[in-house]
Amino acid sequence: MTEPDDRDLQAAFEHLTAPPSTADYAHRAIRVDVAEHRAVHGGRWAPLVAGVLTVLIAVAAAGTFLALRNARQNGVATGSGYPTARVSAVMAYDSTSGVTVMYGGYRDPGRAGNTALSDTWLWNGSSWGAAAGPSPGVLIDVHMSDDPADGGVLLTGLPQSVDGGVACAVPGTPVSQSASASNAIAPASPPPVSSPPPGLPSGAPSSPCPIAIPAPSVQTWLFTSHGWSRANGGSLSTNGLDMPGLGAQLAYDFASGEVIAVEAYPISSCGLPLASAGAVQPDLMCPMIGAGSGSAGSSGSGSSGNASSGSAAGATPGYAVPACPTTAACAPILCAPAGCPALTNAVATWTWGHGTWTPGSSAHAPSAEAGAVLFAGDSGSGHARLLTETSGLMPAQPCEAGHACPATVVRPSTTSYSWDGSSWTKEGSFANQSATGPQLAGATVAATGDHALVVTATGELWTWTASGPRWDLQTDPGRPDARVGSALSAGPAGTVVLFGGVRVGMTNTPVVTGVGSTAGADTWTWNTVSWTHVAGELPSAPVAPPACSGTGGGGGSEGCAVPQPAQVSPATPVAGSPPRQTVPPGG
Amino acid sequence: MIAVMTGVVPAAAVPFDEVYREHANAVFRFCVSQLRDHSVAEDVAGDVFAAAFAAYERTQPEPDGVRTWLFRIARNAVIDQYRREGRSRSLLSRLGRSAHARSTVEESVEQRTDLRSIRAAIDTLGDRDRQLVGLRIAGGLSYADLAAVLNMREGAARMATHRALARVRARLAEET
Repeated sequence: MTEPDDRDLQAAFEHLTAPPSTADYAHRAIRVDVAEHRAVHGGRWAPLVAGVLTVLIAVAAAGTFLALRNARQNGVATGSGYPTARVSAVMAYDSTSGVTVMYGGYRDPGRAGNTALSDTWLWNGSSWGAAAGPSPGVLIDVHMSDDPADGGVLLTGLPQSVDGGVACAVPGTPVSQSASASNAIAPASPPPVSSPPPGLPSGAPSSPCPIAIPAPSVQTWLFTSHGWSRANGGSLSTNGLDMPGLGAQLAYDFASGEVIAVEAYPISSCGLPLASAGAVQPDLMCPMIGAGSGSAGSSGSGSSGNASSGSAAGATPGYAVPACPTTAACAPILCAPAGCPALTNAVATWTWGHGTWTPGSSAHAPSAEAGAVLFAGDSGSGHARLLTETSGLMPAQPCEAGHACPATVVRPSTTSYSWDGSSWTKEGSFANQSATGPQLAGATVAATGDHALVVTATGELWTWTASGPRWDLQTDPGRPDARVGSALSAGPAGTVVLFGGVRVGMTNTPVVTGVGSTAGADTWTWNTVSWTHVAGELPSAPVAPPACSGTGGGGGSEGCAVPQPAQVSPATPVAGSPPRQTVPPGG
Repeated sequence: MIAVMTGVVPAAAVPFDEVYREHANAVFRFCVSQLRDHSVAEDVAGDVFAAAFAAYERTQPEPDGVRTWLFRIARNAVIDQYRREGRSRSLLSRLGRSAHARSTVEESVEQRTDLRSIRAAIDTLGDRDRQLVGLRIAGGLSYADLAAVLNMREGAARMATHRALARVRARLAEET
């Protein structure tokens, strides 16, 4: 085991043996008083009664044994079974117990009877087991991260039952009281406050509240060996800044021992967070289907609130396939109001410790980026890493909400940042090898070792190698089909595990063509070299839309597959790469 | 390869008490290598096995992976302890006291000279190097296991450990 040159140093430790106290592990984990069971003996009972008692004692003993066993598992007994097919579940590796935890998702996207799930599953590297015990209930826009400091994984999400109040999205403007008082909650993002959150420029001019948005209240939950527990009150305070809002990605920073949350706000040159009806989430993170977050080794995507349908907060459990950046419906979200030409994004950061979220410093906040993924990276230093990307299409001139934005094609580039415990340090920036680099907005990421695996909102699989740094598009024929809505996370033994999702028509095809695909229940593992389909039924192939009969790209009947001209906005990350060729299936 | 599974595998084949017997010393040594206070290391090692015991049936680590699984837990427990110590130090410093006055006296009795020297040398390393060295020389992990615990590539782990060990040796040489 140890090479000869280490033996001299090792010898200094050899005399150390584990003290007896360390063998007391069972009692540290559980203190069960079984004294009452010892006293059930006596010789004066008639043989018949004694026989009955023997049976009772046996039953009691069995019960005690089971109770002890369950207690040893601290209430998180695993059941047998296999997760049902789903999309938009969220996953994170629990480094404390060495399993990957998967929560929630949706049973079948885009169909009647689509059902939100709130079950929890544990992947031990070879099989799934259901986690017993109470669940957080149905949460949407969920993000999850390893949290060894708290002995489990951390989850943020929005209760599905939240009634959407309305509030103003622009700092410095009054909260609309059109809803009842109890519903007039401060929005998670952007917050209705007089000062912007860390990462946003201050001094935003006051302006009439342009929009009314639902006002959700994000909750924080912790899953440990004791099961799920609410990590804090979960309600935003009056200023709305004490915890990350919707769309915030989570990752564990091993160096500082804290969970980091990042949330991005598209802002205009006027300093106003951009939003419009139906746009609660910052588009940068785009917590839509298939969108998501990375986290400590990862996370899945988890959201059902979709931009195209309007609000995230009041989102119906229904799940719409179109992903924000690729649909025209999202264009109003992404285009700056008239008169606010240039657009940028600012990243706000929070840290989780001692049961509370703390806003980070705005110093060195990454900004002016188009897409971002966060993950626990840098296996050497343990620092969380943030990758951001410039858009392939940047705004050339002012655009008006609801209209396609004129854009200039530029070569996308990726910038990496490392969290130093209090702020982000820019590590470097490089132009992607090709114009078709990964589109980070809406992507899901999982990190393992020196690599990060990114599944884009269009279903592509990209590998980020930090030591390059470089991006590589995966072309292994044994890889999972292009899909969206799959849960992704680091798994045991340095692997990445992927579960479920729905297929898209083809790589680079807008997600909307995934209509018709049923969700998968397939489990895949990636060992940084190749993929293995471990188990479960694959998502079905999408129903191909009919080819358009018209000429050119502009015509076509409703529902046919036509290459979509980029409804690009200044901050549009996904549609943001140079217009990708959309080839209708079959030709 | 498609192996549809319908349930979890049977409970871990190796009873936990065997796991404890096989790995207790190594885990304890690792904790000693990482923590200044011998009694704290004892406590943390106990916590490691308590946590592992609680999660053993739930997580069902493969027999081959138990070692790395345990050391991941140990590493996390040590990081946790550092955080607690950090808070404690911060509080004590406000009170004008030293957090390690007591442990230094205890260690002088409990630890051999060579161990004390190596511990002091390890203390001068950064977090990652300290873990690498501890896992290697106190935990006795192979480079492959070490890389798995720290989520690194084996080659990178090997190189980083060699460098860290060189620094430890240099520090020891300075002492003598």
